[in-house]
Amino acid sequence: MDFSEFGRHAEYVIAAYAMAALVIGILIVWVRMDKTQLEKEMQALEASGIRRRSSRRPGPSVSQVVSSSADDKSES
Amino acid sequence: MTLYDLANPTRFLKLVKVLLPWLIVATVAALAVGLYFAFFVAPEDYQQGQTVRIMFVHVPAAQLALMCYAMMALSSIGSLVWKHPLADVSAKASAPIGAAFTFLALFSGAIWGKPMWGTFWVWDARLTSFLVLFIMYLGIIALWKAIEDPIKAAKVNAIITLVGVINVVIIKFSVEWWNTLHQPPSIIRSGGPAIHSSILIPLGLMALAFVLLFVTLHLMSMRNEIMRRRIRAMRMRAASVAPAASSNTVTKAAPAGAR
Repeated sequence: MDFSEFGRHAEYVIAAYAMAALVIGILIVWVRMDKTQLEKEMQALEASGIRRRSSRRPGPSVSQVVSSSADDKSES
Repeated sequence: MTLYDLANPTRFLKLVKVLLPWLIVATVAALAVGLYFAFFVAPEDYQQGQTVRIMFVHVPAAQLALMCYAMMALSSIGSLVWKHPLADVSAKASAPIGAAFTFLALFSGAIWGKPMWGTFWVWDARLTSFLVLFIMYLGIIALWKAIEDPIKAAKVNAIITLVGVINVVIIKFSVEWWNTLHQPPSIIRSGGPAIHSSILIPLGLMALAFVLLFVTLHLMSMRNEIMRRRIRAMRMRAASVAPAASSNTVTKAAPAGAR
């Protein structure tokens, strides 16, 4: 569609759709960025040995990790 | 799968993982079809001319603004009455999306108002109550951020959200109760829609696209919120175990040092 067909009110129609695109775009980017940041945070915690209580994956629990690190410190 | 099964966040996340790709495809397809109809099929209005196309953004955004609040209110009931584990997650996830669509409805309404009414804004009942809705969304978002404990925050927000439902009723009936510059209902009204099918169909398609967009964004936000709570729980468990472990270390280390 040629935007000149919108006549003298073209700027209003374009502004409404541009703002809609901007708002929806910001929402999508915000949700995606939030997910990426949370995933990084979760990975960092898991890498340091902290796991969820209900996690069934092999690996030490929080208490095991903390007590082993405390034991390491006491041995040193 | 029952509602009680979905109360388990892990099961819910599995379901979201399956649903999301389909929802994204459906949303993009619905938006594409809706925009095609809005620009290439819908005729210009005999009175409003091309500005009628603003309606295809304004009306779905306004409907979603109210739908988001209805979702928050239902979630608040679930949170207060049944203490559903995902209810407060749902309420919290809805607020920013609702605020965004309320802003879009206010903006597109103002943009539509200028050529049609000769002004961007009037303090009539519909516009004012919609502005109040936007402020309420911002207040609820601020409250979620202000209270650190998510369980306490959920309770306070649930009560405030349910009190705020009165504003949704005011928004809905404002154009009937008061004499407003905003037009009376033209879609959901006794006697059927007052809009011709050539404009009503594109409007319905855009409304469907916006609803799909909301469902997609809401599920994505809920998934993020569940992850945020898991991270918080992991940090708290680590913090609660650390002092006990370090005190054990002290008691273990003391005899060794004495030897």
